[in-house]
Amino acid sequence: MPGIHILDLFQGIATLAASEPFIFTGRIFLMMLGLLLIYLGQRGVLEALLMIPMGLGMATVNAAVLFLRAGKMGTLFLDPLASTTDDVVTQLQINWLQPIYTFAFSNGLIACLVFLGIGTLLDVGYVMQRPFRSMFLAICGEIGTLVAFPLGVAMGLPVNEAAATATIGGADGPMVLFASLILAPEIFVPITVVGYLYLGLTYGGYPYLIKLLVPKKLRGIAMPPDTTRPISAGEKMVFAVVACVLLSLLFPVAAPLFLALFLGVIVRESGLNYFYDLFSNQILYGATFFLGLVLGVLCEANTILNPTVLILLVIGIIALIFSAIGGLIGGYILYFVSGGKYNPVIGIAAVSCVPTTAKVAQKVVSAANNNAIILPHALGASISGVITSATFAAVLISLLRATGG
Amino acid sequence: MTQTVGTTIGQAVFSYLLMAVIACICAVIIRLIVIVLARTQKRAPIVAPPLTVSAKTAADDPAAIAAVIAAAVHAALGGHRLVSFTEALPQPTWAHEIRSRHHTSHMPHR
Repeated sequence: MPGIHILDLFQGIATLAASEPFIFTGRIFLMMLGLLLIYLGQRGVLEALLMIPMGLGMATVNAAVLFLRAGKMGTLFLDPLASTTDDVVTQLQINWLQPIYTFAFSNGLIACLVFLGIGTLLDVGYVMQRPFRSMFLAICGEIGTLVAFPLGVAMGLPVNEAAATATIGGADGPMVLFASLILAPEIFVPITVVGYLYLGLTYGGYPYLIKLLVPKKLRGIAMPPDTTRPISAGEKMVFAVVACVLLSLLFPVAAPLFLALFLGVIVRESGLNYFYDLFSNQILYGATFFLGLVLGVLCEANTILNPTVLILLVIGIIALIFSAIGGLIGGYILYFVSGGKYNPVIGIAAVSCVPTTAKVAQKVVSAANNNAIILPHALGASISGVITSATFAAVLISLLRATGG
Repeated sequence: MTQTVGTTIGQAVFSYLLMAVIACICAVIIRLIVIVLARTQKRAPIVAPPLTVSAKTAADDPAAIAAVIAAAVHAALGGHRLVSFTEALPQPTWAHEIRSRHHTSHMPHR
């Protein structure tokens, strides 16, 4: 038809053609990256539950950029930059994912829902049977955060952004999201995306690191049978209540996360089966789905591409590698202290990421010795890792707030 | 806010040590809870009833039983290797369900 340019009909291509070369390349790259995430998720290299919605969201949002009013480019998914009340209310009526972002994402609700679901999966009895060893390993597994924080400042990040990025060393996705929302809201999207991408890689990458640092003879050490008595549900509930109140008293800024986590533990132990089924299935997997989808949609080239992303990529991987090395060093210390009876691979499970790292540890140990069962010990360290990474994030947030960071 | 790397190292070490102290306190609290509640939950020892011995020879086929158990485990959990068959004891059953969930949590297509 006369008067209509062909690109007016296909606005995704039109906006691509009208973009600056940097954004043009970025959109193509992010579309390809999204497709790669779907592939790797489907193949089991990355966590499928998160990567498939995230990958499709990322690929689609970068394809679906169109011209809005006054020639401005945007999407009909969500606008993370809407800040004033009028803007937010307007976007709520236009963008279909804006309600999820505004009411569940930017206030940390979705992180707390995921934590609540994780809490229902945690059997704190594993920690309560061997609290000192588990906590010791978990403390060693936080070394990545310790290293990454000053490294981020050395690489030019402001202190708040460096601290938020360093929490990737705790290997706890909801924690990274929550900490970055509080400490560095302006770059919480790239921090969280980088964090989740790397956490997805732990399942495939950590076994190589373990094999590199622990000889096969030590990987195959069978742990002696447990002589500790079983922990009752009542004892676990008492622990959850005491820990929740105590940690919230110390760090009110992280109290939502503590409450969500320990509420999940109490729901699990209290025998409230309807709540247990709801939170461990629908809520956990529903929140994980929308977390992945919204994270993917937030990866629009105009929003996410800035020079700090490269720094985040470097700091994130260093944080996770150092945390893994720290955990394994802790495992080695227990190995020597116990006179060679403790399997040092258990240390890797202290890098939180519950229960992935515990399963990675058991998988590697089983490959070396089919009869060695270390999963209960690994789960104890992994659950302790959740507590220490939440505590470390809370300490960092409180410290930086106190010092004006 | 910008600050020197030296100051940040100091903050990082301080935060790490504070986290370690709190984790140790958590471990002590856990131990105390376990010790205190164990004392309050002590029960009278359970006396086993006297055994009744049957005059009949037990019709038992361990190989068939093992095959049935292996098939049931495979149906419930998928392709896992059975390490051993032992008599079911009451102590570790509290952990069975969550172990099963951990084993299968990375099978989203089940």
